[in-house]
Amino acid sequence: MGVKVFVASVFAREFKLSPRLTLEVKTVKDLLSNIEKMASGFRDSIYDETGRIRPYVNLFVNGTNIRSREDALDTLLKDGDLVHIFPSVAGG
Amino acid sequence: MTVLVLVGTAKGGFIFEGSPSRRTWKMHGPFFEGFDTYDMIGEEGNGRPSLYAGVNTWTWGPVIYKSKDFGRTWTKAKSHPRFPKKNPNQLSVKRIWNLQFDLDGRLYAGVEPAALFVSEDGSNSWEGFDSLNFHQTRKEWQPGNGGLCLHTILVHPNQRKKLRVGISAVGVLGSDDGGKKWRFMNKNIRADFLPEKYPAYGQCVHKIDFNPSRPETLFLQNHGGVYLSRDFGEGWQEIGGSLPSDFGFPIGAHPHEQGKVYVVPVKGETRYPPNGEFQLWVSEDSGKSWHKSSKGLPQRSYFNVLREAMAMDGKERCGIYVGCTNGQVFCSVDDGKSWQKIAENLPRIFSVSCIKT
Repeated sequence: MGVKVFVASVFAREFKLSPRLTLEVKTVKDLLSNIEKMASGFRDSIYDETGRIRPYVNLFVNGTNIRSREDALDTLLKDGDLVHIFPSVAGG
Repeated sequence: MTVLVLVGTAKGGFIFEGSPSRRTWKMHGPFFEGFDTYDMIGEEGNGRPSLYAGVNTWTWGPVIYKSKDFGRTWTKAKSHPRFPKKNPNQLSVKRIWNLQFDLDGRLYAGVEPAALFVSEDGSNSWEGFDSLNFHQTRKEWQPGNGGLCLHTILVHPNQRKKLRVGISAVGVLGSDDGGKKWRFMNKNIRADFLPEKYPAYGQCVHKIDFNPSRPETLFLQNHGGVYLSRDFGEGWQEIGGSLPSDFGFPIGAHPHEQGKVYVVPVKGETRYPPNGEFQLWVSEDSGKSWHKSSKGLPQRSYFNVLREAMAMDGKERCGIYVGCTNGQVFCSVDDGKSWQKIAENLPRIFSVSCIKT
C-alpha cells in the first residue's frame, strides 16, 4: 500500500517528478532519500546541512505540519500515511 | 567586442548587452524569476566562457546557476556551497553573497553565515575552508545590519595562495597558504560602534577592491572610513577625510589607472546621498584628494548603491557601472565625467558585474 506523497507543482516541475508518488518507507528521512534517487538535488531543497527543514518548506504528515520539529526527519511513517510537501506562501 | 553587464536583483537576474559605443543597451531576462540574485559573474579567458549566479531561492535554498552561452540559458549547478552535514556549530548556508574566479579558473563563494568555499570543477563539487569557517573566534562574530556575510574575496593574481576576505562585521581576514591558516588583518581600521575603537576584529568592512595589475594596493570601504593598504592588507591608512561622508558600501579600483578609485558616499544614519544628490566621488591619487562625479545623475534622490553593485568593464576607455536600490543602472564611458542611465524599473539591485565577449 505504501506512503502516499503529494509533491507541490513547483517542486515537481523543477525536479521532473510525478506530483503523486507512493513509496515504501519507514521515516520522513527515508522518504526524502528515496525521492533523491529519482531527482538529484531534491533532498537539499527540503532540508539543510543540519537536518532542519528549510524555512520556506512545509512538510505535512497526515495533515500535521512537522516543519518546526527538531526531529522532523525522524518522523515515523506507515502504510496509508499521507505526506504533503509544499513551499510556503511567502514573498514580498 | 561586446560588453555584457550582469545585474543581480531582489527578483532575478538581468543581462544588458551593450552596443559597440556602449550608448545603447539591450536587456535580456529576467532569469531566476522572482528570486534574490545576490551575485552574477562571468569568467573570461581559459577557453571556458561561463557565467555563474548565486541565487537565494525561497523554494530550494541558496543555489548556483551556470550558463555556457553567455546567459541565454541557465541550469542549476550539480552542487552548491554547503557546510559539512551535522557540523558542530550547527551552521547551514543561508545565502550566497559573493562569487569570484581566480586566474586558474577556481570559483570561490562567500556565504552567509560567513564562510568561504571553493569549486575546482565549475560547481560540480565544493570544499569549505574549515580553518576559516570554524575559526576559533567564530562564536564572537556578530552580524552587520545585512547579516553575517562574507562579501569580498580577493585572490592575489600572481600568488594564488594569498587570499583576503571581507566579512561584516568581523573585518578582513587573510591567508598566505591557500586557506590553511587565517589571521585577522584589521590594523588601523576603526570600529566606531565598539568600546575599543581599533579592535583586532569586529570591524564592519563593507567592500574591498584592487587593480589587478597592482594587487598589493587595496582600497577598502568601511562602516565609517575609506582605507588604503599598500601591502595586500598588512596595514591600512585612512584616506576618506575630504569626502562628504566616509560611509558607503561599494568601492571600485580602476583596472588600468594606478591610484584611481571610486566610492558612493551616503550618510551613515539614513543611507541617503549627501544633500539628496546621488553622486560618486573619485580619487586619482590613492585618496590624497577627491572630486565629485555626478553629471547626468539624478539630483533629487534618496536611493543607494549596495556593496556589490559597482563594476568596470576593463575596456581601454573603461566603462563604469553602478546599480541602485531603486532599480536603475548608470554607466559612464568617460571615466566618470558624465553618466547615462542604461536601465530602470528593475527590482532592487544587489550586484553589477561585467564581462566582455
